[in-house]
Amino acid sequence: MLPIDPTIIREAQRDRTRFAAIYDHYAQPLFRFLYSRVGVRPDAEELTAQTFLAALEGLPDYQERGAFGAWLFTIARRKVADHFRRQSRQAAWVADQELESLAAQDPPDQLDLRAALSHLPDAERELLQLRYVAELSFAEMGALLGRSPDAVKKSLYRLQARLQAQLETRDE
Amino acid sequence: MNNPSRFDEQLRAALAVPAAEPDFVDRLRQQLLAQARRPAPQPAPRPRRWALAGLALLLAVAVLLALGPQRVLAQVLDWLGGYIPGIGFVESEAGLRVLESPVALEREGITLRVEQGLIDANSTRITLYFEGIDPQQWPSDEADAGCLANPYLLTPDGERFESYRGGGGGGPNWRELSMEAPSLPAAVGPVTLVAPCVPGTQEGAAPQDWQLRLNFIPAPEGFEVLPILRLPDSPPATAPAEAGIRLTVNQMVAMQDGYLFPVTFSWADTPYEFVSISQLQLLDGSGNPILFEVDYNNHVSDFENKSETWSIRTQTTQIASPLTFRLPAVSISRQLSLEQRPTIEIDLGDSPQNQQVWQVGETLVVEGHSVEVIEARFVDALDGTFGLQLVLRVDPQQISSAGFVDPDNQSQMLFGGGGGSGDGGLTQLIGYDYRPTGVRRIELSHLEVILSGPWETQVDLPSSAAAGQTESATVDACFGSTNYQQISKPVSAGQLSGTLLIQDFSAGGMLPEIALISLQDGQRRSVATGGWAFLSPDGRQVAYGQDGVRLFEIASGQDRLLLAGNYSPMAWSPDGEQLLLRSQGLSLLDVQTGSLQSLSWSTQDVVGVAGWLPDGEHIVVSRLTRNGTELQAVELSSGVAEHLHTFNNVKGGFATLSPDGQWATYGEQLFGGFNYSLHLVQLPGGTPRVLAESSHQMQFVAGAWMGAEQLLVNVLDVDRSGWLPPLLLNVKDCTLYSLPLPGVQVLGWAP
Repeated sequence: MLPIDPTIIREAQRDRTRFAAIYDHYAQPLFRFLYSRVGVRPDAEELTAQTFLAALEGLPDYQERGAFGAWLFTIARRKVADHFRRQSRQAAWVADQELESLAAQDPPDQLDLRAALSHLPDAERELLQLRYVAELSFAEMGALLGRSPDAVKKSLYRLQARLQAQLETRDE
Repeated sequence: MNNPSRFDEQLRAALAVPAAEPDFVDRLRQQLLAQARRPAPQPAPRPRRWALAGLALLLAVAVLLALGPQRVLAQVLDWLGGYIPGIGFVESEAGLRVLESPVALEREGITLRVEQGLIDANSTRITLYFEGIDPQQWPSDEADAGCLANPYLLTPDGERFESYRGGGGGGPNWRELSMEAPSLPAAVGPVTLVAPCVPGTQEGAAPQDWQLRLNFIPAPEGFEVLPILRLPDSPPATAPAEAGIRLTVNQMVAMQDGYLFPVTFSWADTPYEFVSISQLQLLDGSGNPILFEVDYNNHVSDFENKSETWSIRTQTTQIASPLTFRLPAVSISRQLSLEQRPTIEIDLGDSPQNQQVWQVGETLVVEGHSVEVIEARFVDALDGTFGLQLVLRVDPQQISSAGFVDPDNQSQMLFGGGGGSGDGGLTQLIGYDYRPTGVRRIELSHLEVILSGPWETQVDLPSSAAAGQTESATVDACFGSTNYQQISKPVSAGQLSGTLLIQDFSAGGMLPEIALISLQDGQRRSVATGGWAFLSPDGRQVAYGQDGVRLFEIASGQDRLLLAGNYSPMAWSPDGEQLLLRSQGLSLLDVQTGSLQSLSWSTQDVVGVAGWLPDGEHIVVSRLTRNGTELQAVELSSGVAEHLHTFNNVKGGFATLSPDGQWATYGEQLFGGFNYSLHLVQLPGGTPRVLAESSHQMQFVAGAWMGAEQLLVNVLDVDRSGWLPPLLLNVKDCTLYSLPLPGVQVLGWAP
């Protein structure tokens, strides 16, 4: 997904009805991301609605720095955390775990990529979801995660390499 | 190594999730545009009446839902190993280690406990509890998720074993967490469980950096690991009408008190993105239904491969073999694209009137399915909302529901809904928060299409357990959904006295109508539109919630606001001088003076109020604890609580207290039951018994006590989402009476 044209954001800040263009751009990726996080369609729909409503109301305060996607998905992540808290569940096991330390762990002995993904720490799985489900750019992911785009890219590639190595080890 | 771009695609496919449905995208777009058209930026919609409506609906829906669908993204299980009851599946029983003994640590009133831990070749699994959390330690701001840092394990040489998966639950003052970390090596010795915070609490509000020493020892002899038995593949017993859908059962665990079966439902060879199961049946060798429950902790959804696996548990091993798993039908949800949607037009004119009807008589056809729109009825609801009620007819063998939208609906909050009678008659309400006028274009946006089966598979049970006949599982109840009409005795209006307080959603709108019905002559009198209605002990006043707490004087018809704000009535004091209210916590309102008094003790963990004890000094409340829903008698002045009874109801139980304070009714699920059945217990410490056994289609809910022995029981028709005429039950001798009343929901009775 290409980042949204900043002029659309500026127009929407002047004329709220232009928010529809932002919505059209992000509706599916945001829904998919939220679905991948909560796993239940009605909850994902509710969180999608909450996120866009919050974004609409917060749009005047948004300062355009070319990272609108990061801003929108930050709202979505907060909604997810709040959702899990209200669901009385451990909040998605979001953690600031260092990917490097996790890479040192024993590789999970699983049969396929999906199984390997299911064994990833939540922070790593979210990294993949932001890239492959939400289709954010590295710049947006960096802004969202508070890291440089390069650092995000390296983490992602390292993670991909580890997953590939695990799968190929089993194939041998 | 794989080509990186190919691996990219593999990752993309493995992470794929279903897209948002067009109808949802469409509706949300309208809602956002309506919000955007408001002249100036305002805070997110503050749901005044909507909030109240939500609460009222929650009450109504809560009894419908029971324990609703609970998808747990479980791990992909390796079914070759064993099963440990209460813990789950393990790959192998070799080298299992368990926690040597339970450990606990108390700090500033909060106790951290670890009572169970298991290490196998793959993982370390620990369940920990935080108890004694003050509800005020949770964040007050909904946007604040509280502390999210995960617990981890620290070895003596400083190596950290991070949790990579977890789950849990909790109540207002406790939190349960299950964590899974890599398997600790046997040589590592005692480890330290480190919890950086009490999960979910506001940063800094509760003690941080919890450390607890855990020692694991080899599983003692006799530690129970049940084998997972392989079952032979069995061909489908019948040729299904729809190819590509499969039901597979090829493993089982024989437990002491029942069987556990992983049941896989797959629709991989169909063009459908998602196929829903509405009903799974288990039948014994004689074709008799077998009760079962779903173990949601071992539920695997694999949308990419179009399959789902549930763990199904029976209540007994005494089942006549073979056991048949049967899906009578499944359904698919068809969201119609904007181009596909057939439309009708209805001219509402300039001033449509309540209950005005337009005969439509049009048949809409899409993808070979027909939906006949018979008529449209305008609803001017008492709560200020409006609706267009469509009356539809479909082939009940093909379609279970049909959704319609008005694409030009400018309402800020879109609402609506529908129901069906099971014989092809459907209704669908399109809601508006303004009076719609002129020509409305109504689109058919969604169909729930039925695919008829059956799909079946059979399992031969082990010969050692295969009983000649199935152990019966009868429930000793006063009555149930199958016999209440036969055993109830009619009672005429003249034999009864007093006044009923009822609520009625049938008028449409988001809020119910509150009304009074005289039991002498059956006359009905409307009180107001609102929620949380309670009849005063002397029967002269009705307190209810509508933008605050209001009081309706029955004799004069005077209605006044007692207290503005987000408060809801919960109970009258026995002398009728005070109202127990709920906002964030509980408070007392003096009805005469209007003075409000917060209770001095912590009440935020109270999830329900069953009633006020006759002494006027105690109330009976329900609290969610680790062990279930606990009924407690609490002294109002001090908050000192006395345990009365514990039962299982995740929603608080909807307990009602008899006027003498000796008995309480509540809802609890029976094994295999979907809806809560009505129970009765003598307080404190009595043995509970079932008053009314609910079924999938019908639920019995306590309405109001009528003296010390008689209970008015509400009857909910689950399929139609409507109330049937209430019943009167003598709880002592189980005598049941049918009442000459319409289908209403009884809230209270006064002499």
